[in-house]
Amino acid sequence: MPPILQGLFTILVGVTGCVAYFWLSNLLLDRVICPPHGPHAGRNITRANLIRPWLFLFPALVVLGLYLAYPVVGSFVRSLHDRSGTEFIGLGNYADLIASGGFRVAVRNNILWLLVVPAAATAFGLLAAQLTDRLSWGNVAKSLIFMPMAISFVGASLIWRFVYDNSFDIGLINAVRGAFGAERAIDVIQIPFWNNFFIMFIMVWIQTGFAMVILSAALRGIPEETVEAAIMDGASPTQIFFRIKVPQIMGTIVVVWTTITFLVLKVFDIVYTMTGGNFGTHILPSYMMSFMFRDDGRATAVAFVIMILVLPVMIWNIRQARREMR
Amino acid sequence: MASTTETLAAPAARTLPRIRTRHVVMVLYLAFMLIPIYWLIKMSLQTNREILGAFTLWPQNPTLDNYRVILTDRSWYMGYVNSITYVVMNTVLSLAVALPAAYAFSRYRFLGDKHLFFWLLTNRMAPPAVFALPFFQLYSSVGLFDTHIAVALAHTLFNVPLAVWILEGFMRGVPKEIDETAYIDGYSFPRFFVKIFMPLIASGIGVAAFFCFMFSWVELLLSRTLTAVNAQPIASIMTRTVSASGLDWGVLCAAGVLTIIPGALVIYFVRNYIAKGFALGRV
Repeated sequence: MPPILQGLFTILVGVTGCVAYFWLSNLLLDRVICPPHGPHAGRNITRANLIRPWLFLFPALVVLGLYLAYPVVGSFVRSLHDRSGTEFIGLGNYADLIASGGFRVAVRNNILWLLVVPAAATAFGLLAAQLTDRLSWGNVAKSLIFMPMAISFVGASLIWRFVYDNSFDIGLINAVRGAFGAERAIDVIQIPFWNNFFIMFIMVWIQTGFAMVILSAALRGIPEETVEAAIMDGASPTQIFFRIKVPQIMGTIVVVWTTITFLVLKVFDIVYTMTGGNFGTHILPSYMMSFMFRDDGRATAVAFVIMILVLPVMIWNIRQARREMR
Repeated sequence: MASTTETLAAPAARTLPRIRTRHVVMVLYLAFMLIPIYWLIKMSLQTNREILGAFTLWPQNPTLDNYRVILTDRSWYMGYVNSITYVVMNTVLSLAVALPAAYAFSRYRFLGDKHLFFWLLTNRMAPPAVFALPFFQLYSSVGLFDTHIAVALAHTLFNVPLAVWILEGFMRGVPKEIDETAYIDGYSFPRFFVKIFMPLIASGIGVAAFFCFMFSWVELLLSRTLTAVNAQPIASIMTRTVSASGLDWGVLCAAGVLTIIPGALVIYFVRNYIAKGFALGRV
């Protein structure tokens, strides 16, 4: 099969290339540039050890530098040009965006996503982690809860289209409503404003399992004595959970929260397959896709707005990571 | 005798009801998580007429016709072949680049190492939306558009920082003395790395591979922008069908079920390592 052969061939070339590079460059360093013998053996070994890490890093840095720096700069330059890409119009695309109502809705929705989804997924995950803790079949339950994470966003949207479908025969929600005697089927995807939350719920559903697995590992790491001491002092189970356990795993909660936040910043497929951005559900990446290949100037301007929105979260996260490393 | 049985029975009787509510809550929660998946599997086993007909809780006449359509229709199964091809390419290449880089970060101190490391971290957070258009232009100009290599390389970019970040955490856990002992024993660096070091961080490699796999398997924005016909991933084929009118619900459901299987398999194999990766503060 040609594509598979092609793939295997690329893997082979890539991996052999990497291995050959590391092997040859290290050989070159040890034998030719800084040989560990002769008059300057000591100095050469020190020097070789100064250079070596850069040899290891070189491929990763080239890939990332070239590949990541170029698109950001390229995007920005493109966003300063008009639709055809020939005429320079300065910040015109950005001005158009701010003036358009669709863009404002997309920004509002995106902010809602960022506030609601990580919080809800972490909360559900924490709850599930607490409940599966010391459950005899907890491990089986955990594997099952992890399952939604294996589904691609498109697959998940497909599933939820069936759940939300506006007929009594296909849609799960309407089927349940019908069983309770509802007269007319509703289309939850078309309820203005609230439909956003129904779509967000899909993402929460996907990410809960992930949050739970991580948080349950953290819960198990809590020293028993602290919980026992709290019981001795007569704390209620709720108090133990919120006053004793949660503060001790706060670090993990923050990590899970930020990880999900980054996923939300990247999400696009769910909105795209559920509504295609109709009914006021656009978020920024899907809004960008609606301009893609039709008005590249505006699409890249939206992409840049996304970049700017990501920055504060990014900086905050790096500060956090730095503090931990110390 | 009677008194001992009493004291043994007493605590059991007290804890029993509490455990039971726990079980009930958990079962409800599981049901909530799994009913949508069950719904998908159920529909994939039904004919279109049955799906659109009356509401049923389970398939009345289960049929595998939908799966047969996917496995015999070229336009469907090639989507899976394409997806798997570039997912595997991307995972292997990402690890090949990330292993030495992570080794450098964990074993050497050099000028600006901390700064570089955090710069890598920022790349991990970069939203793919920003890269879709420039990549498209870049690949079109070098004739890589609509090839597996294009998608695999684009994904590698997002996976290398993540893989370095995860692997570095695991490598830090391996004492440096092991490296030194191996050199004294006469191991050359490549032999030491493959024979001794890689088995020691096998679980880390597993976790990193898992995250590379997951990212690439579910990513749609880039893979959709960078492909047209020949290298189209299954997710993209599914969206195209989802938005088309006159849906073939059953086949679509079967396609959905088939996309879950690889992910579920991988998750099953690495589930115990993932939590460990997190315990190290990585992932």
